[in-house]
Amino acid sequence: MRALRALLWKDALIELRSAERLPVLALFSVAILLTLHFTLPPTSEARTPAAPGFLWAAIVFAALLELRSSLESERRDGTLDGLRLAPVDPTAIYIGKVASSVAVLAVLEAALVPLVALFFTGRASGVAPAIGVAVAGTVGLVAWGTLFAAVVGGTRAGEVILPVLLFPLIVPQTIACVRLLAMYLTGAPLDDPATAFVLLAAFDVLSLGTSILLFDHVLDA
Amino acid sequence: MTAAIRLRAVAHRFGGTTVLRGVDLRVDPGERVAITGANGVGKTTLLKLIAGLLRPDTGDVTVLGGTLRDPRVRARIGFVGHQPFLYPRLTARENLRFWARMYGSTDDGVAVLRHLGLDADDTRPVSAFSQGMRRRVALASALGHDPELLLLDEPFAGLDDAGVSAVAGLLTDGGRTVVFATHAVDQPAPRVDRLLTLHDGRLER
Repeated sequence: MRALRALLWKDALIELRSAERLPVLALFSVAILLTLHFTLPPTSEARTPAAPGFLWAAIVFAALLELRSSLESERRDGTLDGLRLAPVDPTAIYIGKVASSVAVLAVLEAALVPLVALFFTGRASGVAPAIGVAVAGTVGLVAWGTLFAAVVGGTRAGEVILPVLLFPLIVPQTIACVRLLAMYLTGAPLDDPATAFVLLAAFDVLSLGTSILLFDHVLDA
Repeated sequence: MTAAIRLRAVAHRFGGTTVLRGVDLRVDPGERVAITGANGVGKTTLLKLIAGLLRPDTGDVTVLGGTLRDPRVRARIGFVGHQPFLYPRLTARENLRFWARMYGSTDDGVAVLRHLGLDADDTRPVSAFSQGMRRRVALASALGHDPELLLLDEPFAGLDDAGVSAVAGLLTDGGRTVVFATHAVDQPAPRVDRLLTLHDGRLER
């Protein structure tokens, strides 16, 4: 816990001081939403039902940027070697990285979800639970992503390989998240919301558990 | 007496290039050993193997009677590499505090930093520091948890004369085991017990 607190304190301080990651991620996500928005005709009725998918796509692409920069900055500054040498459980390093990325993306989602509600669906009532769903989906996404970012880090093709490895694994999270987001943001009926919540939670637990077990070996490789 | 460092027939390759070929080394507790050699001869690789940042292709490395998989062993080692383990956005004091917490130490190395001529209350981020200043902060950080074994890669690089004297003084303090690599044998350096030369992948006296 001591090491984890120190890691979170350090990442928060760096983020607050640099104020680099969030503005870049926000601009990038808005650019994706805008681009996707213009793929539909102006009067298209598909705009509302497509909004949850657009939102999740923006979150996933922003997460890819975040995942690359989170571990790469440690690698670039040589501090990843310092962390490997320190007498701390690699799980603390992994959880620290996941928590810091989830926190950054959660702030982003707290801004993106109301934007989508405002410009795409016009339904404000489901914004708060939709943010909760987005954050829950992000946990699993970042859990796998942090592991794979450590695997491909330092390689020239890393930027390409990361999504290739990550995207197939997050299909269950994508399905559950988009359906729940649709329910909250558009009011689309969902036959069995409980199953979607269980799927989301199960994949969060699975991705975190598996990555915790493997991270030590990845760091050591 | 258990050796502080024991290397047996350690070999290491990078791609097709053999950097170390069968290195044997024993360093006793409290001993100060300097490893010299030309640039690119493998000094950094050797230090990284001792620190556990690299694994040997063949041979074995024992440090402080254990393996580097053991966090209790790692807790007794201080390492200053080519790249100081410093976060550029944090101040010197914040960096020292962070690494002290990672090592479970209450001493954050501020006294050492002052001894090295840096103001620990400096509010500038480390990114604004010169190379020599960063090396001083890195050394203070490595000494913060009072390690039994100190491994240093080119500890005098980028330091002015005062810095070299201050660092040399610190290395001879406390009776700890010190192994450092330097390419400049004529540089003012702390008194060492042994001077070894790395040549053609092997250590020579």
